[in-house]
Amino acid sequence: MDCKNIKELLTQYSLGDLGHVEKASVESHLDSCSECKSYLFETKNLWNLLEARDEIEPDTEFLSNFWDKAAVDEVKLKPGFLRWFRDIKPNWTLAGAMASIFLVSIITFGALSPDTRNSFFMSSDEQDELILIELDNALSRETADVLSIYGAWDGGTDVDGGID
Amino acid sequence: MESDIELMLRTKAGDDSAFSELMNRHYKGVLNYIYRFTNLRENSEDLAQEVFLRVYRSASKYRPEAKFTTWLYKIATNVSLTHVKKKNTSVSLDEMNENTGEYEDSEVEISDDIIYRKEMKKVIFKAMETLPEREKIAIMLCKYEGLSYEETADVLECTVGAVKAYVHRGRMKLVNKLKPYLMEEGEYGL
Repeated sequence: MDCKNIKELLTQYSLGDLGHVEKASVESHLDSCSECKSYLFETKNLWNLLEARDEIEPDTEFLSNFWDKAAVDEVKLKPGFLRWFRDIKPNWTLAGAMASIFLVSIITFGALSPDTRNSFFMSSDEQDELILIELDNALSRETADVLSIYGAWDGGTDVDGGID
Repeated sequence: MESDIELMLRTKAGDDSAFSELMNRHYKGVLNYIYRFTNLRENSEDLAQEVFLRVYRSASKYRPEAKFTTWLYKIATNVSLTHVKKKNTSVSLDEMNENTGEYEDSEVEISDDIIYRKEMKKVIFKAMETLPEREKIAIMLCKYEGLSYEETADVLECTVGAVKAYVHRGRMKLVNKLKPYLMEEGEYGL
């Protein structure tokens, strides 16, 4: 392996992450290459140097602060009827659009729906007419029956056929 | 001792004391992770609280599919990144000095060692800031938080091989940038 490949393995080597075969080839290379040996030294030192970053301690009240925030958060997130109304923000554009849609719907519905009032009277008139015809026919038949005792009319008119 | 997952499941069932236990375990780690990310002490405390609030809020939807710490550090990374991008930091080094949380008595003579340590913090911060985001996060999670390559891969949503490459590349860049401080073992005096 050349120096470039070895350098790629040195991070894992310094962390003890290499298998036996790779570890042996890295160590064999390091024995004969001062550049890689120096690089290994630097990467190890780098890892130690990074320890120089300081650590901070949590606020002693961090738990109670958290639960206070969580309680406030819970109230904010809790759904409620009054909260729903309180959170409604007037949007006049949306309201206008909704009103327009409502009006257009009513007008369209009215224009397309059948005129039930007219059809009711038409149907009623038709029925009345049928009843009158039936009544008329019944009266004609009754009259013909009554007159039949006088015998047939001249000219052999068939009374059952109806009166003209 | 109960596992993190067991504690999270108890939290899901409504047991807040289990969540307090989780916070006792992981709060300091998350706080310092955010602190190293942003270098602002005051903000770090607020952001750490935000991370745990997010975890607590989503407890009802929690499914024990991934390791808890992986999930936690993924949220912490997102919160930190959002904050850094919102604030558009790179924090200046002057700002960093103001936020180290160390209070000095001007009349007390400051030892060379303290000055050197402060100087090193600045140098390391500056070097880390020059790294690409993923290399920086990979090094921070592996080096400081002790996450494995697999766990770091879960946080970064990439392969283990990619994490190894990020750590290696980041480390090479840091070696080049910090070469003057890496002379001989122990010589940097820390």
